[in-house]
Amino acid sequence: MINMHTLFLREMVLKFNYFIIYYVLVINFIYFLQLILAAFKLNDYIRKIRYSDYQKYKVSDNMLPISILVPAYNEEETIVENIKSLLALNYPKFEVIVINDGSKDNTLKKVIEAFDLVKVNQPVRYRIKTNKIKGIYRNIELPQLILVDKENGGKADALNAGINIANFPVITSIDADSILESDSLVRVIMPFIEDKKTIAVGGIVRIANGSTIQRGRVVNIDLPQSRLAMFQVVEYLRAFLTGRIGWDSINALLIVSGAFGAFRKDAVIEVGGYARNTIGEDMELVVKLHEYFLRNKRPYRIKFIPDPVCWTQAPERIKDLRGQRRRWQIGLMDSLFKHKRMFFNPRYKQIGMIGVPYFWLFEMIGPVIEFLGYILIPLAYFLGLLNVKYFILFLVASILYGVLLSLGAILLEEYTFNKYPSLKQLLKLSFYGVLENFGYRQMTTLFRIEGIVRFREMKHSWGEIKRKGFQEK
Amino acid sequence: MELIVLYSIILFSILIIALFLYLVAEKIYAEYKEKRKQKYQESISSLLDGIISELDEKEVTDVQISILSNYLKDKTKREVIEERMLFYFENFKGSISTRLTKLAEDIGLVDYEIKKLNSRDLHEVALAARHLGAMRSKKAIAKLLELIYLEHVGVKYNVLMALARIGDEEAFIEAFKRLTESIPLSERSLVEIADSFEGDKIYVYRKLIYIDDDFISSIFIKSAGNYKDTMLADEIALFLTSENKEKKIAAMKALGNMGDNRYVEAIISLLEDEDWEVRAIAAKVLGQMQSEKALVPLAVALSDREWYVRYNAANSLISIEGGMDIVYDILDGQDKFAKDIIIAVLETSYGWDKVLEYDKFADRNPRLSEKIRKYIEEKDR
Repeated sequence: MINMHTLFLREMVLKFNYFIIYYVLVINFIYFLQLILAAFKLNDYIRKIRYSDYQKYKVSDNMLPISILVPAYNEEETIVENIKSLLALNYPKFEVIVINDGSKDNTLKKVIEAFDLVKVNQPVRYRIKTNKIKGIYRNIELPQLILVDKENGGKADALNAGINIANFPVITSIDADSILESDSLVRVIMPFIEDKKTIAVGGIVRIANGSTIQRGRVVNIDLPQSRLAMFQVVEYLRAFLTGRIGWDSINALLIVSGAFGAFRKDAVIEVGGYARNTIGEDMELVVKLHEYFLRNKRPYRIKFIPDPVCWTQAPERIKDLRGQRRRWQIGLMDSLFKHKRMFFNPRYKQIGMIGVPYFWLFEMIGPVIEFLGYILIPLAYFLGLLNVKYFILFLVASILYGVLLSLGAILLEEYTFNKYPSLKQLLKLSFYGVLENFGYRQMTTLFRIEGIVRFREMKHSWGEIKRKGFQEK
Repeated sequence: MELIVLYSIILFSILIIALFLYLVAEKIYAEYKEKRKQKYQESISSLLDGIISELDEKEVTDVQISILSNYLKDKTKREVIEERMLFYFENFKGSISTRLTKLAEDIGLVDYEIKKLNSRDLHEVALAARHLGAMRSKKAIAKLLELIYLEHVGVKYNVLMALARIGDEEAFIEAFKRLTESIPLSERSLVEIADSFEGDKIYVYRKLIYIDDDFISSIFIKSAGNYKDTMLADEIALFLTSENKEKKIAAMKALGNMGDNRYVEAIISLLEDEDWEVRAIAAKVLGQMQSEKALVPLAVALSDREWYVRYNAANSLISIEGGMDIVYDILDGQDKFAKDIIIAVLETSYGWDKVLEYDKFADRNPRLSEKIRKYIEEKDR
């Protein structure tokens, strides 16, 4: 009887180990497929730029005016510089709406003082329900800037308040710790001009740690000194240059980064704005738009374009990184659960049949499988259930796939935008592309698992990252 | 199993190595090309500069044309010539532009670009259309018109823009007649194309504002408004009574841009349109027209059920002479919506200047600025 149990257990462990290997194989095939699709799409994009008329629209009255929403919660260290850089953007007509979401620090005071703002009595149309707006501040000499002070309600609530105040047909949300390149707005808006079906556009987010910032502008791009930030540079390149572009190439983009995305305001209002009570409001909005437009059989496009750059600060402390990854995982799960009816539902076309299932099977469950693999395969080996060849194969494969994918993303970057042109930078990036597979990747997997474990407890909370002010040089 | 993993690693590695080799090869080739270009750059540019500097006074000689035509046979030299010529087209306007077009035709550059319009690579086609637009050669018209049916945003946009720059009225009209309702381009990009037309705009507007397609018609009504030529005002005013909302709005905007206030009464009547977007634009345009006749209707519109209408009416009201007197009276009234929207507008830079100016010259007690402060204080309480 005991032997039967042992045999059964042994059989189960072996089967699970084989399952893990197949799982790793499938996910990496998908990643490589994305890499190939991204390479074609990037090539396509680079060629498209040659005949794009975006320079003409920089000064045209026919350019879409845009409302830039900057939700701020305890952002006193970076908010003023961030607003200055936004006000200096190269765009024909825009407004900057800063929404102070009940900050406990001096965010409100700093913005009021820096821009000499006074309270005005602008009525608010609550087209989307939000927490109470306590006041609107303006400077009559600086009509493009509006500061909204509201009761704390989370980032989504702050963004919805901004939408209620916004005067223009396209809104873009930018995190308070981010900096846009001067042409970024024109480029992110061009898809709305070129294709009337466009309802949302995401741009690439890059890491500013290590670069030189002057008067709210990135004047010299360099790689960070911090190892943790360096790993994230590679990770972001992989996520944006292969992941997002890959999904865009099959019209199944499910995430437009909260750090920099543009949306048609009427479409956002139609779906009820950003979902409150979720910490992944960026993904949630995009999935909601997909679901709404597909369900109502209305033509639409959600696009990603790889060169309107938004620079952001990567966390340099493990504690902050942990919080960030935990939030991302919880946001992802929350959104997938809310739209579970799309899972393998042909009514939702490629979103229901490819995008959503991928996120369920690989992005949501992936960290658990990966974690179990790290534990069970060595365990099975030490218990004598697995032979050494299989054990080494798993180790080599999982590390090598990661290394190859990172190198692929770095090569795509070098081939296209080449923001890190020197050989030293290329070597440093490649080195970290290899190194991240020995510890960093596993660490972020653990953070994501923590997100899964604490999902129920934390899905409505809005965490805090200690921002480091941009280093002006 | 082991074999699958092994093969996948080999496959992925080959892929990455191939990508890497491609990248290296591409960079080496780009560097080689750049060096070759630099080699010819100076001689070709100085030859072209010399020809262009005398283009206003002298004809280009057959020898010069022959030299440049021969250069076009070589890829690198052709790229240098093309870049330089496009730079001239971009920066030289007026009579020299026509001569530049002739030069581009004579040396075969236009034919080369027209040939590229046959390419199966749609990026190539879009780029060629863009270049042909810059060169403004009528030789390209027939081929460009054929491409109108291609369902590619980049091609469609650049073909239409090229036809706008070439400026041939009949070809431009024909192109827009060929557009179907499913045109993927946004309204703004089409207005930009219409605004960019370099031929007889009045003729084109007269033809296209009456086209059956309401969308295209409203594009040209809007563009006519941007052109601000009052010759078209009477014809545009006919659309104020159109059943199509877009046309109605376009006509109001056009008349507002032209500043033609003969149609104030017709636009005032649109403040009662059933569609709020029409009412909102009517309120805005009345401000542009600056007619005292609009003051009372605008004051009534301050109580409209739609926020945009109230907001535009308030802005227009304070901008028209005599409007501030009405504003003063409204602040004495009971309509909270009207008061709130007026205060919001007066707190903008433009609005507050108006308040200060009013207090300086009007003899009313209390002063308007005090009245506003009092209202705000009461509201805050």
